[in-house]
Amino acid sequence: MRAFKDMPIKHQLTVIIFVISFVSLWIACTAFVVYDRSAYKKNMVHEFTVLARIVASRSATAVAYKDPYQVRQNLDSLGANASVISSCITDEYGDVVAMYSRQHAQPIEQTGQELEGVECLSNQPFISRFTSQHLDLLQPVMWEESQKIGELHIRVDLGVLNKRFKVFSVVMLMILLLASFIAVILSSKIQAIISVPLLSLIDMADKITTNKDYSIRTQLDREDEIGRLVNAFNTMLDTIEEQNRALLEAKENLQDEVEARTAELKNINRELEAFTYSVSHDLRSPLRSIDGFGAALLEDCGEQLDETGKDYLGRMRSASQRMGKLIDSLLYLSRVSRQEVHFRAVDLVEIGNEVVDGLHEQYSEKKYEFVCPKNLVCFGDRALLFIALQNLISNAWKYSANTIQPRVELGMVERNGEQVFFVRDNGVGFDMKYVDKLFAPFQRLHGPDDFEGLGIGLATVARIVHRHGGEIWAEGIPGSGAVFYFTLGMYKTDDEREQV
Amino acid sequence: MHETYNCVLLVEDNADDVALARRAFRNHPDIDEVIVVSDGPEALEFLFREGRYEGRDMTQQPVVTLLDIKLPKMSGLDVLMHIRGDERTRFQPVVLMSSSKRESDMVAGYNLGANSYMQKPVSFEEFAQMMKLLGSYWGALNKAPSRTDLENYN
Repeated sequence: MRAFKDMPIKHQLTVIIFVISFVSLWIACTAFVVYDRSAYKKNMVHEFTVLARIVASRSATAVAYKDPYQVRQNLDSLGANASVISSCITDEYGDVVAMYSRQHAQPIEQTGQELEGVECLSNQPFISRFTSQHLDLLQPVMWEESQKIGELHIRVDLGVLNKRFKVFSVVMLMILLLASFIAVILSSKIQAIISVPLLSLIDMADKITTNKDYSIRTQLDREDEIGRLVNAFNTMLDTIEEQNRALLEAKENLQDEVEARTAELKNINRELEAFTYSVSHDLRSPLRSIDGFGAALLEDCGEQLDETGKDYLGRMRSASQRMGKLIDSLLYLSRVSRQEVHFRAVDLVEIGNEVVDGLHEQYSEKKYEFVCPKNLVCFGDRALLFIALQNLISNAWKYSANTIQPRVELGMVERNGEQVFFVRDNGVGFDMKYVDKLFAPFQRLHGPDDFEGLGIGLATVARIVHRHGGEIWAEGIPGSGAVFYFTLGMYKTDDEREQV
Repeated sequence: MHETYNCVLLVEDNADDVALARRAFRNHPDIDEVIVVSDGPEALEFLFREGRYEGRDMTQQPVVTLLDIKLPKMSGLDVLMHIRGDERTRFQPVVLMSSSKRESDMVAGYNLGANSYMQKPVSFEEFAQMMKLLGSYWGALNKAPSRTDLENYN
C-alpha cells in the first residue's frame, strides 16, 4: 500500500481505473455465466420432464401387461435425443422391465440402486437431480392416473451444458482481457484530465520555490476542485506578490527616509560644528581681551589701585579664565558626541594604569591604593574609553582626597550575562537623592571650594558610554564612597555595529 | 643682543588681540618690531612688496608671520596658500593662530605647509608666554636662508 501511495499520481489513477473496471467486468461476466447455467439447467429439467411424462404415460399399458418389448421400443424412442445416456423402466416392485443404454454408457442398474435413496419422495409427481456429469430424472408410471405401477429412470448427459459453460468462460475471459486492455489505454488517457493540471501546479510550485518568482501563473478553465485549487493557488500568489510589492515599497520608503534622515543629521552635525566653532572662536576672543587687559591694567596701573581694587580685578580675570575652561569643556563634550566610534578590543586595566600613573604624580603628597584585575578586555573605542576612565578615576581620586586611606578600584561584574564595569572609591560619596543630577552637564554636587571642577566630566563619560550603546549608573553613600557602573553594549567591531 | 633686525608680521583683524600681542612682544630680546596688517590681501602685499608696500626695505623680511585663521576678505588658510605658492615666499615661516582648535583647520593648515599651529589661550599669562617663546624661537634659534642663499642654491 505504501509503495502504491509513493507512485506518481498518474500511475495511481491508472491502477485505480484499471482495477475498478476489471473487477466490475469480472463480476458482471461471472453473474451472467452463472445465470445462464442455471437457466439452461432449468430449461433442461423442464424439457426432459415433459419427455419423461410422455414416455411414461405411453408405456403405462405395456408396463401393466408386462410387455418388455413395447417398453423397450418406447425407451429407444428416448434415444433419439442425443443427450440421453440411458433409461429404464421398473415395475411396482422395482424390477427392471426394460432398459436402454447408449454404447459405453453405464448400466442403468446402478442408477436404480442410487435412486433407491430418494424413494421416500415417490409421492412427488417426479424428481430430478444433477450430479457433476449427469442429470437424473425419475418419473412415476401411473395407471388410470391414480395407481403407481412403475418408474421411469432417465439419465441425461451434461456434456452440452458443460461445453456451453466452457465456451462461455473462454469468451468471458477474452472479453475481460480485451476490456482490461482497453481500460488500461483509456485510463492512461483519462487520468491526464486530473493528473496534468496537478503536475503543472507542482511544476509551478517548484519553479516558484527555486526562482522565488511569484509572477508565474497557471491558467485552467475548469470549475471542479482542481480548477478551484488552481484558482486558490493563483489567488495565493497574487496575495504574496502584492505583499512582496508592499514590503519592497515600504523598504524603499524606509531607505529613502533613512537617507533623508541621515542627510538631515549630517547637515545638523555640520551646522553644529560650525556653531561650536563660532562659539569657541567668538566667545573666547572677548574673554582673552578681558583677561589680557585686566593683566595690563594690573601691571601698568597697579600702584593706583588699592588691595580691594586689585582683588576685584583678580576675580574678573579668574572668572574669565574659568569661562574659557567652561567653553573648552563644552567643546570637548560636543566633540565626544560627534567623534566616530571605532570598535576594537581594548584593555581597560591598561588604560586605568596609565591614568593612575598620571594621578600619582599629580597627587604625590598622598598615598592612594589602586586595585584592579590583571586585565579587563572589552570592545570599544580606545581614545573615548581613555577619556571616560580618565574622568571616572580622576573623580575617584579627587573625591577621596580627604579620606585617610584612599582606595580606588577598577573592576567588572557579570549581570545577566553582560559585563558591567565599575570604578569604586571610598571618598566622600554622594546622596542618592541627587543621583539624577550626576550625569547632566554643569551639575555639581559639591561647591568649587570643596572640590574643584566644572561639572562636565561625568556628562562626558555618559556620552561616551551611550555612544558605545551602553548604560551608566551610580551608587553612593555620603561619607563612604561611590561606585560608577557602566556597560558597553554588544558590538565588537565597526562592521557589527553597522549591521545592527 | 642680536645683530640683525628682526621683525614679526602679525596678520590680525582683532584690535584687542593686536594690542595684547604688541604688549606681549614689548621688550622682547629677539624681536625688534611687530608689523601688523589687518587682512589677507594686505599681508600678501607686504610680503610680495606690492601695492602700498612697494619698495619696502628688503632687510625687513619678517622672521615669522603670525597668521590668524579667521580673517575678513580672505581666510588665513587662503593667505597661506598664496604664500606657499609664490617662489619668493615659499620658505617664509608661517605660524597659524586661532582662538579655536578646529581639527579640520589644523589638518588643512599643515597640509598647506604651515610651520606651526597655535591656539590662542584665554589667559593672558599663557598668551604672553606663548608669544615670548615664539619670538625667541623664530627670532634667535631658527635659521632661515637669505635671499642670496636661495638664488645660489635653488
